Amino acid sequence: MIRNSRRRTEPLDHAELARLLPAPVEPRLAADRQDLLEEYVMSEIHQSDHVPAASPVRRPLRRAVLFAAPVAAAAALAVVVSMGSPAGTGTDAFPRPVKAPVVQIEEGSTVQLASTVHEIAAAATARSTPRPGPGQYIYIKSRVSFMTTSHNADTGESATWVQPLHDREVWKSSDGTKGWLDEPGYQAKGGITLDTDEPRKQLSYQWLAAQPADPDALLKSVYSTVSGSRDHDQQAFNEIGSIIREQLVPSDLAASLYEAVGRIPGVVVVEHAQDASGRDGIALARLDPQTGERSEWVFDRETHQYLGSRGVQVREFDGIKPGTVVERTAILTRAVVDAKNQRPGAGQATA
Amino acid sequence: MNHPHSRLRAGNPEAFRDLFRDHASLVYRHAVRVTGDWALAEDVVSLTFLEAWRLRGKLRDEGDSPRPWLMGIAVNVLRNTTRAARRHAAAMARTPAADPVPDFADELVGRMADSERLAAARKALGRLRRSEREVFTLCVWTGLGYAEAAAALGVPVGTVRSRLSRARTRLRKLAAEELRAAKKNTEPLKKNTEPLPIPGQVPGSRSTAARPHKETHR
Repeated sequence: MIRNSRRRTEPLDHAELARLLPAPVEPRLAADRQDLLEEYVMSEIHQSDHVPAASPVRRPLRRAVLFAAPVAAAAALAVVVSMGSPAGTGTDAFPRPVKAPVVQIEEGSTVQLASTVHEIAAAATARSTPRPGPGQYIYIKSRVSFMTTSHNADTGESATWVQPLHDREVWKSSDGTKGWLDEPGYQAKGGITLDTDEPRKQLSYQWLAAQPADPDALLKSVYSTVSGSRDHDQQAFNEIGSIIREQLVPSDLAASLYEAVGRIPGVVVVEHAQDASGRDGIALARLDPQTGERSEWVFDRETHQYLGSRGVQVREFDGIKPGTVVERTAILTRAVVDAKNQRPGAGQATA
Repeated sequence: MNHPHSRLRAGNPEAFRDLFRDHASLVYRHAVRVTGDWALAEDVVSLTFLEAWRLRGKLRDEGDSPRPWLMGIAVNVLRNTTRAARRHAAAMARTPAADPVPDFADELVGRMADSERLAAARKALGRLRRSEREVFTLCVWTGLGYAEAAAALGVPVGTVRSRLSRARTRLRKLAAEELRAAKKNTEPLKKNTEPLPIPGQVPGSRSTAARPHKETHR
């Protein structure tokens, strides 16, 4: 039997555990059975090829949060990326992860919450947003960096690595059944389909457009989509965060959406935050009590337009040190286009 | 440099075939020990890989091996095989027939003895909470490292350690109870079926027949 060399470094109590309750049998999958199962599984996955893989947009539980890096760090990263990207563009190559930036944690406060929410809501209402017509797609281009690894328990090493900042483009039909994602270096060359027969309806434009314009009713609607043992307030906050980041919010609904956010318990204002492009702004934020990460949505201080987001580890968790910026995004373009893989041209409505 | 997971995530069938070949027996072994059922374990293998294909977009570039991710899927399938089977109902209807009676009689005999051991182990496992059971079987029986088990279960490494420690406490208690029960039981429980020691040879009876002279110091 092949023994894993790792075992040598494991604590002693493993041997005792194995003695207390030894593995009952040493089952072997017979070669002919394995071949049969292999052919079966392979033929099934070919049949299911039209079914898309789970959307990588929804990250697992331990999702990294978005946090703006200090301007200098972001600028330095941007240089690295722009130097490294020509060779990497259009290939399957995974850019080498970089050490996560670390920032000074600024306390959030509820003092300015109501006024900040009002300003953001008012600005969102005043801006006109293009409306996707039948067959059209919502297009969002952003610059993103998500966490890749954190703690290695086998070596005891604790360092948080993030993806270098890179472009991400998504196309979404208004009902959410059709879509495309292109994230060079992180997805297959040319991108992957997001087509699905069972879209998460609360993330679609159509669902949003049908929501009540009353903040309380809207909030109730958002909470009805969350479940499970995770903090429901945080789930609601993240749900709205996903909408704000990679969706088009109808301008007559935007105000009530932001007002609704202001009513989620635990939401605070962080005075200074930066998006992935290093743009400074004011943030609406919430600390996830389970992961110790604070998700911040960064808004321009003057125009109150949404710039992007960042996730800052506030409490140490799983080896991630406080102040670590584990996730950041910056929205570059938001528009309505006529087809998948089409980019907005001059004169096209953008938001 | 391509990350090894990129082909898999992109839906490359050959990358998926490699994943199957590298890990099918690991998943199978884990499933047999946890379920105590060979036929069911084959279904768990199929379901785990069908789920892995469905969820391939979620495979992240954490570490070099997809093993923790895959074992996490296997754990979920084992938690609720019925639900996973329902999701792949159409595919499972086409599943190859369960392993028929093994070809060789001695394998069959071996399986009967194994079944008893499996049943006994399952009974002992039943004394643990599910969370402890999962950590125990992944780390102790299947040999995952703490970090791997943590990634597979989506819990912090510290939680893996504390669950293992609780499992140990319970198993020690269980072992102590069994010992007491065995002591109370005065009647000889088992007939010794082990071959008797070879006559004429007692422990420590061997001695060196001759000692090379040059090695003795005066």
